[in-house]
Amino acid sequence: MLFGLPYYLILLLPLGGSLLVPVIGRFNEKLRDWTPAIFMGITMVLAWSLLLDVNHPSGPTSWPWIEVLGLNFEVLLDPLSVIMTVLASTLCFLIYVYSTEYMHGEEDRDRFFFLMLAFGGGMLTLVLSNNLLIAFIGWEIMGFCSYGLIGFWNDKKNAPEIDPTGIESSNPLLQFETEGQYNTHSGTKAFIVTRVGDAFMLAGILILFVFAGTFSFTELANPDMVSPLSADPHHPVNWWAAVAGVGLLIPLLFLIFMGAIGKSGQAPLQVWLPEAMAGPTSVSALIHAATMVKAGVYITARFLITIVGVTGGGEHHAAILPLQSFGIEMAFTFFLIVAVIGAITAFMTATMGMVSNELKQILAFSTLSQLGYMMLALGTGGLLAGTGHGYEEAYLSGVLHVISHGAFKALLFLAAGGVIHAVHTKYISNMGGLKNYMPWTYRVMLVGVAALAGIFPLSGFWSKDSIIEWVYDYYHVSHDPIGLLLFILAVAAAACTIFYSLRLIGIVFHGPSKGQHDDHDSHSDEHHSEEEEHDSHDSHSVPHDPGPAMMIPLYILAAFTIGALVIIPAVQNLVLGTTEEWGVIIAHLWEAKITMPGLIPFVITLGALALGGVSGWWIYIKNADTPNQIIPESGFRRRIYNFLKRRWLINDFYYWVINKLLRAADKYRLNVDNKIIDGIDFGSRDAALAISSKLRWVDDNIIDGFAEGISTQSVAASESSQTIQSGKINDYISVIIFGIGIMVLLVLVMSGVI
Amino acid sequence: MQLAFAQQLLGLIENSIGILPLLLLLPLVGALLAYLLGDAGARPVTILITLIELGLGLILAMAFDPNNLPASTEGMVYTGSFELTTINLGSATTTFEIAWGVDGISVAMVVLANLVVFIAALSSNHIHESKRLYYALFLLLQTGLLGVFVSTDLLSFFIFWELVLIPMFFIIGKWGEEGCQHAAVKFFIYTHLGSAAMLIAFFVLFFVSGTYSFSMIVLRGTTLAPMVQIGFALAVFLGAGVKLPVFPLHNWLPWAHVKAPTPGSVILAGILLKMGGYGFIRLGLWLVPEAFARLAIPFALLAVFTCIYMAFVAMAQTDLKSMVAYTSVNHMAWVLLAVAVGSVGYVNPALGFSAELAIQGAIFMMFSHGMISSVMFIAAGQLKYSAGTRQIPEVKGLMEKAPKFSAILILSSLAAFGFPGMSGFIAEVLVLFGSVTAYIWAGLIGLGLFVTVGYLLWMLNRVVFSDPDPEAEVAEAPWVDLIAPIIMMIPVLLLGIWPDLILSLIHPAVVFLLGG
Repeated sequence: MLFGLPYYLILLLPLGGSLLVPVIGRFNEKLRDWTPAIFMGITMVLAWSLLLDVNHPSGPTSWPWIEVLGLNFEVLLDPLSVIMTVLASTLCFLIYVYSTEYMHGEEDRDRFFFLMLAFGGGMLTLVLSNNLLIAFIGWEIMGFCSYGLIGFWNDKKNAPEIDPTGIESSNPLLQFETEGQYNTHSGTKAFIVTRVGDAFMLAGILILFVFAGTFSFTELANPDMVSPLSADPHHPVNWWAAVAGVGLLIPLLFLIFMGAIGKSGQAPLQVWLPEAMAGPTSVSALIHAATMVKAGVYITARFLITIVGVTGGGEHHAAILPLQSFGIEMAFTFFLIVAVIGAITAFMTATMGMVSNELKQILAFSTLSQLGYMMLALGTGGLLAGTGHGYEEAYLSGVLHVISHGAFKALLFLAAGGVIHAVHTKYISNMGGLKNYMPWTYRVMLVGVAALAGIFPLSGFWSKDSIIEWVYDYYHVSHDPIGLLLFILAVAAAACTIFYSLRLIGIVFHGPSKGQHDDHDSHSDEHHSEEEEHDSHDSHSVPHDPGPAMMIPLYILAAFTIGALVIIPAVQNLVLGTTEEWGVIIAHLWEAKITMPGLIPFVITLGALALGGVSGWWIYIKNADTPNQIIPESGFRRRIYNFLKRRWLINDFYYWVINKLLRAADKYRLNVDNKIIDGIDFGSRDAALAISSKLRWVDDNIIDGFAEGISTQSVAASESSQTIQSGKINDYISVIIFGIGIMVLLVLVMSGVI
Repeated sequence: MQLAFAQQLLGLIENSIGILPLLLLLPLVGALLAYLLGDAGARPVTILITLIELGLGLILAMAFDPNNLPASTEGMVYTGSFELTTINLGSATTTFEIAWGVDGISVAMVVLANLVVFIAALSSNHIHESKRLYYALFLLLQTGLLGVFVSTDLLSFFIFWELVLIPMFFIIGKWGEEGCQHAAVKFFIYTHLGSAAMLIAFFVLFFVSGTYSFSMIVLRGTTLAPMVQIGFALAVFLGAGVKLPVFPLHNWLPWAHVKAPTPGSVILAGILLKMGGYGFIRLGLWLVPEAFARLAIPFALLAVFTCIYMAFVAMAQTDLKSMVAYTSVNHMAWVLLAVAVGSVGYVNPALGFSAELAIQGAIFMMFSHGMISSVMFIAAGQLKYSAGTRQIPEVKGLMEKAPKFSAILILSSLAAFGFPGMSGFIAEVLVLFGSVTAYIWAGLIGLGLFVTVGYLLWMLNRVVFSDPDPEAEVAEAPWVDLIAPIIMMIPVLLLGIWPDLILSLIHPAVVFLLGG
């Protein structure tokens, strides 16, 4: 690494730096706000320098961590890890810079910046570690930090903002009195839902460890690593064959994938991400673009590579070990599950995004949808490998989408944060016509949504389009009807994506101004007192573009999104380990699109984009000034709208189940626990107290009374030669008990029993 | 854990006077010095001497190689002796001598003794009456305690064993609270009777063993007749059982602990009881394991009974100090149980591993209980200064009135009932695992633990987490009183997460003891 520094600094700087944040906060608030940015900036420089060391570490990569357990901390410097590290550190840095202005004046920033920096550190731990267990620690650090950050505004006392188009829920779990309650609920929800996945994942990791005897990714990917559970000692097999031999392969892989489902918000655990918008916008950007949800994609990609490695390159050449008959085709079902879940998520959440009324929630749905694409790409890669074709290109398209999505989604969130900051509402139906007030925000946002929708020549076009192409390619080579389904879902999701992108732009930036910001006449109202004047200045001033600390990261991200074409070939060379010329790769990209069979998906996708784009443009931009009457008050279209608005009822279903469960538990408590279990509790307490007071009496009067009695008696006896008859019954009893005890012991010893 | 610098330092000491004689003599010199310097200088001198002793103990532990167990001295190193007199007995010549040597178990106990005595010295800040005499006795006590743990000769063992009694008798009787003279006499009579039985056994052993020697090293190498062994074991049971204490020999303890001044209670609970446990291990398990193996079932039954019985008795106490005192008895029963199981493992190699676990647990239990009970006694004493009374029902709302003091009380209570992450937990787990694999019914001792958790939490509920009584005056403890318990909590937590610090020291000795 740079200057020969040790690699672990990349993790240590953010994780250790996060602990310094509250300390620095005691001395200098401004420096404290900049601390995460400074630490992450240094980390970013170091991370970029890793690009020179891919696969060729220039120093030690392993350090003992817990020597007793033989646990080492080892960094992994393969292309995937390095790309994720560079991406995560760069986006984190930009978001931290943005946060310094965005969070200005908020309460309790110690907590905020501590969690932010630890969050980034957790992600870097995950992607850079060569040890599944340590990666899982990073994974959990992120889980905790997301909980703290989503619920960051936990003590807001004002009532939550009502969604003007929202559907009232009757579930008592969803009634909130204050915004703080809602925020806390959202954070808790994110934590619990992802924990569901994590619990399965941990089980999967432990089973994997039982079979593989190692947590190391490089060892897991090595087909010559012998499993400690080899059935036949004369023919050692690796973990893959050992697991497959007992038929646990698909369950094991699925358990681990459950973690990714939870973290990356795949169906059916996608419910937490839309609510995760309760946190500050920079948190949303961090969760969506750089960390957290990318973790699930990363771990899936990591396992794709590992599986390809352990099965010997993914192609059907002869087994490396004798008698090994288990190839990657064993995992075909698993990759089918990944691809189907990805495709369903991509389509389902895109339809939800079409009707959402919350600015950041639309972006959240789009994130879910794009994550679905990434999973689809990885699943398709596995499917292609499983049917005897190369997995690399499909996998590459997934990685490319991670990168391009990271950039444009950070861009969109940060821009949206600027908008919300300026108009003080999160619902787009309260916004409108901001184009003229926030011209630069509008422009960067336009770049963002265009990339999101996959418009040429922005980054999203290249990555998303190639995912769709490879899905089609899988159908083309295998004629698997599920492949066709995947393709249809992917294309439909693309159409939905461009529709909601244009809807977002149209409602927020076009059309008439309304809501909070059209009363700038009152701004100059002189009747207000000084204090009210100050207040009104804060909340009622004309919306405007934010300051440089917020805008500069936006420009950088926009520049990357526009210039993606320049970078894609470099990434491709890095991922595939090739050294093609820039022009050759670009030519290949085009060639794949305009020749058969790639032409078919390309044309179909363009058609879908045109369909979604034209309708979106017509409704929300062309006719932005006229009220929207597309959805009637009742009828079939309204029902569809409500179904989408309620997020396919999945969310409602979970709440319904949990509510029922809580009620049942409450009933149990009232009828069974309070009466029976508590009865036993109180009964045994009373019994214990009664026993203890009796025993104390015995101890004080008999045991101690015996000794005291003897001494009093002997004193008395020596004084007046009286008899030792004290007349006290206690003394006699205790003497007898003690004497009997000694005699029993003597008899036992003498008779040889003991 | 062997550190080069500690070994160099120890080498220097070993070349001049020897580490163990230095440990024994320094407090004696200190006692004289404290007495001569008078009331003003006694306390600083005592703290300095005990601190140096603690440092020496730690150097010994750090330089000590636990795996070096020479067979010729039955595992003892740094041995030496000082001849008192020689007697001609016809054919044989007998030497009366003070002989010393340590193995891993002794080193652990030496460190504990020095630690507890140092903490007790720090917490003696409420002693104002005849300080010079108090501190002189205090340092004399330290010599006695250390002597017990490093003696390798029955006679010198007995001398040190009795040497502890005298200063302790005066500390309880002179500086204690109301009724302390009665308690002191009671303490003296009980322990002295136990010691008398033990002394007789020493002499019997001297004559019937045929070696005409008091040296434990020689005696351990000699095969003794079974009845002699059993008689000796019963005598040890009386002597060490009073100190430990075991039902029904325990009644001196609540009296002595409650009536003694705080530092007196700290030393009593922290290290004096451990003499009993150490006596069981060194004189019983180490010297006559076969006899202990035959007595194992009654001993184990008695231990389980004692633990549960004492837990219930503790629950009924209203005086916090008294409750803590019974808690000590309840915890020391674990040591007896572990010793019983350990002796079974000696004769039955199938149970060797459970025996190893149990004995390590016993020593760990002594170490951790020594630290925890010190903190609890300091806290109980502090309650008197803060709230004016130690009666649990009369003190309310400590958390609001005295948060720092409450934190100490809460932490020490958690540690006392074996909260995971603190040293008590490790000790209980080791003993429990070892015992249950030998005798399944020994798991019943868990009931004692259960009741202990119950009454300690109940006490916290009543004293700490209750609503404050507006009538009652409760003051926060000053830092000067809190410093000693805070220092003592550090090793409690450290050993809770890093038990190997002690276990690596004692494990080879335990294996050696079991004939490994």
